[in-house]
Amino acid sequence: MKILTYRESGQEKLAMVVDGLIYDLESVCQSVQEVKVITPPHFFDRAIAGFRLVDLMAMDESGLRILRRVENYIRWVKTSGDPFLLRRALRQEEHIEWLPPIPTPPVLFGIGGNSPLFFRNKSYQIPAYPRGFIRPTNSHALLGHRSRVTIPTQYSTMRASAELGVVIGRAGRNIAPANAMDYVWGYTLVNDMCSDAWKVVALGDKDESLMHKDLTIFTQRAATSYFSRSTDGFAAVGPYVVTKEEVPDPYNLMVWNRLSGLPRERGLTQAMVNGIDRTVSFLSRIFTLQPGMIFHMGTMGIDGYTIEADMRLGCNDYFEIEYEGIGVLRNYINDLRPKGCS
Amino acid sequence: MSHSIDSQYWVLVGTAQASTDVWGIRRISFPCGYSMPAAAYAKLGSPLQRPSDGEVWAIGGIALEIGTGGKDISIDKAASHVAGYRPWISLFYPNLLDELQKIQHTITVWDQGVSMFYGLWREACQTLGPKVSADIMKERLGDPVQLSVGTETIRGEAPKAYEHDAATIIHFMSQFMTLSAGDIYVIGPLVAQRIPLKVNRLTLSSLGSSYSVEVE
Repeated sequence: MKILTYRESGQEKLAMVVDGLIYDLESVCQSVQEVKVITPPHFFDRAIAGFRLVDLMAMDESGLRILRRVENYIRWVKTSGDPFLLRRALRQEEHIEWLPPIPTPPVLFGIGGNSPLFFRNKSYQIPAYPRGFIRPTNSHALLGHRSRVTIPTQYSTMRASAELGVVIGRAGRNIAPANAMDYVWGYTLVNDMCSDAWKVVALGDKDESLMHKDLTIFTQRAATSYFSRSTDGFAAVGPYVVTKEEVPDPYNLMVWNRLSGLPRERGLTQAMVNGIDRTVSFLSRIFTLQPGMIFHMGTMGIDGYTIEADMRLGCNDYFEIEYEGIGVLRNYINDLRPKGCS
Repeated sequence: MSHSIDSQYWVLVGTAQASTDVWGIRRISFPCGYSMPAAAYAKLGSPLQRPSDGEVWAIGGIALEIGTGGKDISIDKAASHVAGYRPWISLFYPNLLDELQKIQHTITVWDQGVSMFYGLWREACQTLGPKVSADIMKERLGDPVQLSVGTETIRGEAPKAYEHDAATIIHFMSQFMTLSAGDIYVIGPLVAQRIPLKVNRLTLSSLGSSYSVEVE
């Protein structure tokens, strides 16, 4: 199942994608009143209106059961019933205001460097644990599908990275790697954006290699790298969460990173150094896993795709990342950098 | 605390001598630090969680709370965005490096750096005390903070020792992200002491009052 969150008339709402069409969940449930059968479908003993995705996740198996019933009902209406019943539920991808599927996740953790390519020709070792960062998760920090990302005036360059987001569905602490997948609800995409313009603040005129010798310089470089990721709108998440049963092998997915439709980077999730189970297990020893937490698994290529200092982008340009079987996350660009800036 | 859904937590490091004492980090010329998960902060009245074994540091300092949010806040207007200040106590246990030593071929500077902020992410390893006004902060700027651990009291630096004041932090951070009411910026450690595992209460005297937290 593919579940998304969007905003309509000022309200956060849930929708489901079935066979490529988007259905508002509240309207689907209301359509039952028009069904002329002896036993109308029954989803839940309370109205689904007002539920957030994270609420359904927290209900564990019963939340999934509700969603499966809704999906089955949509398929039944389309094939055996009267598709006219769903006329008020259909939404158009380009006409809705997409939000991140979980608009304020309790934690958005990202791994920095999780493919062998990232480490090519570098003189430091590949880590045997997920090494990453936490970024703010508020409405300023996160973007949904089709939202516009702003490249600030002061960022000479920026980088976009196509990353797999693992969505946690159950609370848990100190989880063994063998059990970690039980805590995964599904997958989404994260365009992990950053800017190397911060290197100047972090290092001044010092050589970057010093960060591997001096803890203070490492701290300056690491923290500013995370500052750049904390830039307003530099984490695009979505378009929806795909439940994990739809992705039987998350280590065999093709990955694309495109700029305005042109492929700039390709990868395969087989490249993942620290896997999902190890990452979930490791983090569960630091904090309690909570439904709605998202861990993005790092680039599967070298290190994302860089918008260079001499490139200027128009308002029709867009980032697009894709994971096979999960979806395509597109974000239009608002490039505020002055002309001639380098 | 009056946190909104948009509130966020940061801990700055390299702002006073105590960062050198705990982590070996020198003073840093710009506000430098890490975003924290909300769960790293023990709920009001709840104890800090300590590890079952290993070395533990008790750390004290001051946190800045944002009153009015904003973006691109100029330095001359930044002080008006301060809601107040809170005493901050953290129980930091660097045992992650021991864990990493079991799985990594070599422990590098990168691992040391990561273990620092992962250590601060630990659930309920930080706590914030009652808010005091900016006026009290101004009056008490020169008063050294004191951390009481059992019967021992350790004297730290005064808030005036911080490398950056609130206006600098607000101005700097708001250049890349929107600040929100209730945001917490821990300005950094002012006092730090390695403590025995059996300690069950920590008290930080700062800004003219004392704040205590249980440890379990």
